[in-house]
Amino acid sequence: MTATWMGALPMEQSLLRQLIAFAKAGNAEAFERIIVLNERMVLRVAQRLLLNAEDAQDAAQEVFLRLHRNLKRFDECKDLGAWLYRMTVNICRDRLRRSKPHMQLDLVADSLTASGRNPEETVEAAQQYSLVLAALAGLTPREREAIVLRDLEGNSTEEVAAILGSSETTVRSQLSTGRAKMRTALLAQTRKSK
Amino acid sequence: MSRHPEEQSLALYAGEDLHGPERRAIEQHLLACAQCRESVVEFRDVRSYVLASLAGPCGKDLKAVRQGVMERLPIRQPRRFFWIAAATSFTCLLLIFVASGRHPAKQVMKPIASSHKLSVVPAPSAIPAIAQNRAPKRRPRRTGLLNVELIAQADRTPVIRMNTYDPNVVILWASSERNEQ
Repeated sequence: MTATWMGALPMEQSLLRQLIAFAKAGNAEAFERIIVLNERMVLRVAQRLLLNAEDAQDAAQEVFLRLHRNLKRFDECKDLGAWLYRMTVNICRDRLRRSKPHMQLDLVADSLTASGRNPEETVEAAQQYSLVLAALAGLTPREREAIVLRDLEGNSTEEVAAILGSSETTVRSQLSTGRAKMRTALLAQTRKSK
Repeated sequence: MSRHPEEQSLALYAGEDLHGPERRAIEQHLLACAQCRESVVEFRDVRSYVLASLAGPCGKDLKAVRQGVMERLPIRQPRRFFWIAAATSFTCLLLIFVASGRHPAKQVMKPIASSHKLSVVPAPSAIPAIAQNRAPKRRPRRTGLLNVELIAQADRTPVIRMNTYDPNVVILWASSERNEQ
């Protein structure tokens, strides 16, 4: 069975196509269902690219509003996942361009505290989380895009190149530099904490 | 031992992003170099660490996104044309209904022969049979033709009288040819 973007199975893809067709006809419930199916991926990517919870929520909303605006022109045979990735990256780029030079690292994962951990584990998880966010913040926006889409989202280099609108060679270059920076930052931080 | 590959190449190798001869060259090197093997392991550990540390968005945030989108979706504006058309149609229907109640549809009989022509007939008061029924009566519930009768007098134009269920409405049809039936 061949998996497509986001690891979605063909059956899910056909369901998605039907939902898109209904949403095109003006069915708001179908559009809400499309949001439900994709909101986690869109918000996750936006959070990791922007490193700011509020901005990420706004960006995710903007992605779906643009989808709604472009729904009539959207070909349901095309991959919605790829379109959403591309749109999320573009909107996050715009927001980063407009935002202040020093980004706020205010992503607080409620799930860290709500997953039944004891207080010590919670503190440790929160520290890990902030270390990773700091390491991601040390990357350039392009490197972060490549790392998020390839290493965290699990897309292939070819797919990442298609999303970012660049060549595979460029993506490999961004990946290698980004991974090296992440490794240096995280190893330094973990050694410090020890 | 061959020269150490660059850190970037090891990063790509660790992430399965190298193929072909480049990959084979690094594999060959790693067989003999513990330092580079350690680097590759570190790259992979960092990736696992990042994946494990980054929690996905929580349900509250997801709900906020969904609600925000649904609230900001443009609501379809009611079409002004539709309401104008609906109001006009309703008014027309109302007028037709009122008008049909006051003036039931008249049924016109086809002439028996092509020579029949409509002619001006005397006022109803001139015909005794008609004059009797001149007093306004209550409007009936039913509408339409009640009966048809022929009023033929020796010195007058024969008239076909069509009584309707409404006593106020009587249709008279006269022929210009006196001797025709």
